[in-house]
Amino acid sequence: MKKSHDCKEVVEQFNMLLDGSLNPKQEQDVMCELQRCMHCLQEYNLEEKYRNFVKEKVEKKCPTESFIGKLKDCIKGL
Amino acid sequence: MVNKDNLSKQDKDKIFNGELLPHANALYNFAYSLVFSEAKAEDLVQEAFLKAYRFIHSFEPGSNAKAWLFQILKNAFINDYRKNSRQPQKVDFEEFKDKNQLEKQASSIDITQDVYTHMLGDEVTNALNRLPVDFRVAIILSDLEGFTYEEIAKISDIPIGTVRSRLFRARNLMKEELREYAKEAGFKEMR
Repeated sequence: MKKSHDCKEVVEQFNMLLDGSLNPKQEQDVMCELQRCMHCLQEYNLEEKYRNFVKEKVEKKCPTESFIGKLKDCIKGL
Repeated sequence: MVNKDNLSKQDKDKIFNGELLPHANALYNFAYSLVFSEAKAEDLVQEAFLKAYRFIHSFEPGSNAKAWLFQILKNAFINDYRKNSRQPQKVDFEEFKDKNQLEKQASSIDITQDVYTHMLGDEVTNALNRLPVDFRVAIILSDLEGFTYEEIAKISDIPIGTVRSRLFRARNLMKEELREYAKEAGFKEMR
């Protein structure tokens, strides 16, 4: 018998899926559950969009070349 | 086979340049997000690399250098900054007043299409930087650097269950920050 659909559990599972913490079988199970519930599928799509948005928009700071040069010199001198 | 306790300077430099140094950008970005100062971020990164070099014999070539470096840097941050300088915001999860409310909202905090289209990087970065340090770190390690729960647990020295709950709350707080911004900027609420 097929397990009943629990939206709260599916949300938890798809978050783990997006975090790359599920094995292929678990991933497949989550994707099946998403096909069974429009609400969960919509939540999943929004969450995926949010994750990509943050990754794309958050500014990344880079060290200066002179700092990297100093660091290399420092290591060379050890 | 090379005896790792007696690595030559040449061997150490080879590991350092080949496996550790390529993570300098990510490490610096992480350091900056902890201290919000270029000079302090450079000090932290330098300290982390020097420590890594000193203990390079304990590093297994080909293993996860990035997670190892992040862990060293996080420990250096705790030792150097948390005790001595301006105390970063500490998160006591038990005392987190909005906890229940936040969990209730878990799946209802969403961002409008307008926000996705028009919000600038600065605004998203500011929203992230306004989060308490432990939440900020969770988002950086997971959503920006792509570390697994296990790696984050090791870097942050917390159990995996705590990683998951911290990420859950951090993301909801971040969405709340973004939604507040969207409201102020006049974007339409989707629901």
